[in-house]
Amino acid sequence: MSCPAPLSIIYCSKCGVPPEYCPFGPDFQSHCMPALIREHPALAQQLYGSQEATVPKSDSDDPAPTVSKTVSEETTSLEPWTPTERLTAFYNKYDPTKIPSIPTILTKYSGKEDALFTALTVKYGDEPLDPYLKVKYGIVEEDDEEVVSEGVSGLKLAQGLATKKVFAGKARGTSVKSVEKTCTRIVISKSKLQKKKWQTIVIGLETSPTIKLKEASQAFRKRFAGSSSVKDVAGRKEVIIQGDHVEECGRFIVEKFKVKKEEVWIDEDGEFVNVC
Amino acid sequence: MSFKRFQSSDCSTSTPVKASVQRYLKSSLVESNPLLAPHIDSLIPKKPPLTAYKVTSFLTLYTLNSLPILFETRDGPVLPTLRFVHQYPSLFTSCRVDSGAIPFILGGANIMCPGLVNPGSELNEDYEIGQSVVVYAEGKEHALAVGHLKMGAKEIKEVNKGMGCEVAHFIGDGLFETKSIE
Repeated sequence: MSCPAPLSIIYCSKCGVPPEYCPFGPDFQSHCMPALIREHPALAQQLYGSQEATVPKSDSDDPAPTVSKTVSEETTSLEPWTPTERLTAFYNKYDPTKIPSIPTILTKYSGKEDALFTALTVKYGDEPLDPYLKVKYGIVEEDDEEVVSEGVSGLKLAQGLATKKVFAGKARGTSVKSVEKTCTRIVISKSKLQKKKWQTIVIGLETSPTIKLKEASQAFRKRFAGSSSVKDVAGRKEVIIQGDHVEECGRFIVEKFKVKKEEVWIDEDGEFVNVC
Repeated sequence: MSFKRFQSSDCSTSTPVKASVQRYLKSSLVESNPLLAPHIDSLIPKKPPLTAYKVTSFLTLYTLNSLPILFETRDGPVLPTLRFVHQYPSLFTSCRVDSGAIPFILGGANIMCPGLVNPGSELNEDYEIGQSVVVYAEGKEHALAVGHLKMGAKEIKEVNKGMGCEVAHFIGDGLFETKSIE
């Protein structure tokens, strides 16, 4: 009898352990589970499938497919949204005038969709919920019911909201708590005032752990020789600088406050570009 | 001794393993894991030889083609690394802990007797003190940890108090994350 062949093991692409041990880590809901569902759907179904509604796609012989009790009427095969659909739903909700520019945006961001949606969420607000996730995981929109259970909100995070759950690391064990940290996302845009005057608006500065708003505002005032003020808009802090300094401001932030280039976005006509 | 904070840079000198040492390692393994006997020569072939990395004065790590396969402490048994065990699950002597112990083991704790005695756990009564074991968990398919018994299996079941198994290597520790050593 020859040596048994080595088994090839699937390890979680996020935390590195065999997927059955992912639930013991701090980032299971936010990182491990979505990654597993994307990469190994069969395994995900096997490990976590027992609690959800399943539409048996493989039952092609079965003339009357048995639908499990929690699935809604419209089931045929409900697929998760593609990035195009996500973006369309997003702009439908917040700014329908931008919908024609969607193909251009997507080509620009192909491969970086996560970053695109996070920047959009910082600018506009929560992303509209994909009905596929609603059915599959029973997630409920926050305006429908106020109590969102921890597991559910974790899954919503999988869609890429502004309060991104940062990877807490690979430590597991009884004393490890998961870390919810706002990812550093700074968006710089400009708005027009009367005649030829502009205002530069910087939002998201509070998401960076190293930046103090007042100091930043003073630094801007010095650098751009224009008045700069901190305003509180709907819970978010915005820094407004007189004049059109969008690009310069971006570079200044990266240089002075040691923020990474990938974390600073410039709003060019609705499209988000990283600082160069 | 554990690999909790181990990194591949902790390995200092590397030497190819002498044939005599290689023979000793293999016979040690086969002694602890009898099911390994018919396959040991194909698992650990003569060429290329293993490479030994000294981690501390009492810990040596052995790699095959830059993959960590075995490790050994001065006074302890020769133990396989978890990635190696995952590839050949049925060949190593094993035991099973009950599911309540899992979060503790993942944090680096040793296994207390109740973890090996409670319903859901499995421990072969013939295991003696010092026996190297691969630890599985109730309800899980893949090995969770590797260690050796600090008490004989019969004593563990009788006394049910104190540390039953010292865990040397567990899923998610520094050694597990080190997929290759150059």
